Amino acid sequence: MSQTARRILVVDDEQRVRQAIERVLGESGYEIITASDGRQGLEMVAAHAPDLVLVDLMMPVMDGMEFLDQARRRYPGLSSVVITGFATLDKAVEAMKQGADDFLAKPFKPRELKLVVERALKRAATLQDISIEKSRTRALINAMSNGVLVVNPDGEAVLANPALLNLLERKEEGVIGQPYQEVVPWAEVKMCLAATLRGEERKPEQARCVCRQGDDEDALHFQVSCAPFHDARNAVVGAVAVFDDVTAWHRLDQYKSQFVTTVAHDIVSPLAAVQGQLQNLGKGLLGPLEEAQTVLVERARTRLQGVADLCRDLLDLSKIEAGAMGQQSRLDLAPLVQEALKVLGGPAEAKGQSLAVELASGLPPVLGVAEEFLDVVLNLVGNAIKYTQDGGEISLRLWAEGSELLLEVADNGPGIPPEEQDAVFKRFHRVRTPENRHITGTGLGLAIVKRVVDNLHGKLSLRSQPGQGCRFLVSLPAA
Amino acid sequence: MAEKYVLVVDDDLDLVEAIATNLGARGYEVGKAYDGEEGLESIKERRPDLVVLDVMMPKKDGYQVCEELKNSDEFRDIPVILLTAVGSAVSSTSYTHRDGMTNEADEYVAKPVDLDRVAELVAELI
Repeated sequence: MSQTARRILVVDDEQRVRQAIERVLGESGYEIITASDGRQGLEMVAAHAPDLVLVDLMMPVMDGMEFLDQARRRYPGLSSVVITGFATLDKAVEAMKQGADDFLAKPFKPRELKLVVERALKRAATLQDISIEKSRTRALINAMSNGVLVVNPDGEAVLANPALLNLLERKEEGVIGQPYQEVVPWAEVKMCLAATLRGEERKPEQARCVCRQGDDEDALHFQVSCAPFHDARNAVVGAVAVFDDVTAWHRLDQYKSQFVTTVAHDIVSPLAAVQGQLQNLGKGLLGPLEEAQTVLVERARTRLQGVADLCRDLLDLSKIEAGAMGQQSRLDLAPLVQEALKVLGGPAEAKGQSLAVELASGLPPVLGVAEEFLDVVLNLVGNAIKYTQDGGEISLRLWAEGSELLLEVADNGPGIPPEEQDAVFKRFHRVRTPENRHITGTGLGLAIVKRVVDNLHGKLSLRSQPGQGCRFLVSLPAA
Repeated sequence: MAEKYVLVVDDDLDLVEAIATNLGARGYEVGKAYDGEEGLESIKERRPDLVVLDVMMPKKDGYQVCEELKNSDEFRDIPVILLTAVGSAVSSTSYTHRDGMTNEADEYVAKPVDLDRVAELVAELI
């Protein structure tokens, strides 16, 4: 707020009154200018732009009402207090209806005058603050490159910024006052806004959705965040949807996935051929080998298998990230677990490990991609087999609790040190110990598991003590 | 009894050679083709006892070839081992292979292939 003195114009035909007011308010540090009739008052308003006008209603030449009428027409935000005798109190009420801020009945005490003036100035300042704040907010929203849609509690659009109108290819007149269901074409956004207006408590990541404008390669992709407005009693009084253009990221992601897929294919195909040849060589199909040569050929095959595994995991991860692993459907998890175990039974048996499986019956389905869920089981149980000692015990349990499905994979292997327990879910992170040095792995398995569980809006946790095995718990919301 | 005749169809020459060497050493007679169309022609020319078929091939891919064989009264009985695409860890389970396939191969092996596994399956299926 400015530090300069507030300027008050006093318009009154009685010099005595003007002087009295000037004296009282001058003491309080206001700058006082005066006029003796309405016409002169208008000139003073034009010349000095006062913060407040005190105006007597009964004046010659131009009375207070007409002065106010003309002054407010020219300066709509002008604050005013009317001064009136008791006999004309109804006139004062009339003046306030016309927009005066307050009135002062003659005769008045200095204390009353100061109080009314202070109040009127405070109100004027507040109104100005609100007006500046409004214009600032509006400018901010209009200047944003993100699309912004604000709706009232009835779901009618009350604000749509130029970026959004541009995206919708609509004019503001055709949007404001319309239900959001008619304003936005995307089902995802409609659901998100509906839930926000219903006041559903949501995690930030769930109040977001992704929508697409257009079908071809030039389609635009948006991430939309919805948030409610609350009043002082915390009731929802509207919602805002902010549209963030993520097209560039989306394209980059697609390029990356294509790149990874191409590279992985082009690496694995020759790898497969070389591995086959080495296998023949190692078996002596192309002539007998010395023992040292056989060992070397076997070692070469193992190392090549490591590269092949890495390619497979990279491909899986890029497919999962691109949503290209398969179609989403309602999954019956128990048969999928059994499917995965068919592949895993062999390796566990080869290490003399017991694999105890407990699948509850009548489990509710989960919404997800079958191939992705299989990857979770294959990686969790595969790791347990790989890192648990020969003859170890591995268990898998699948059951339901409330609206969640729980999958537990536990082993009695070496466990994971506490300081490594967060890092194991990161890409390419592998726990290195002298004991597991000989075990090959890609460092991507648990990253894949984490990604899939995130996709399914589930939770993944690890409990482990060194020397006491690992217990991975996946909880997934039932469909 | 005459040698069993196995046809290997894959666009990777070295892999075809490796499979042929391995199966040859086990006493099979091995024919070679390098794309799907060539594979089908070869089958019509001389009926194999089994086909080892790659999925990703030019002209006609392995799924198409397999479907044509399984839809034909003449060739339906020839066992087919499909070498599935690189990638998914899951491709070593039968779940995904059945998905979307109208006519299944008899066995599936994920690349990079274990030649001993292929030989085992050939012995089982012939």
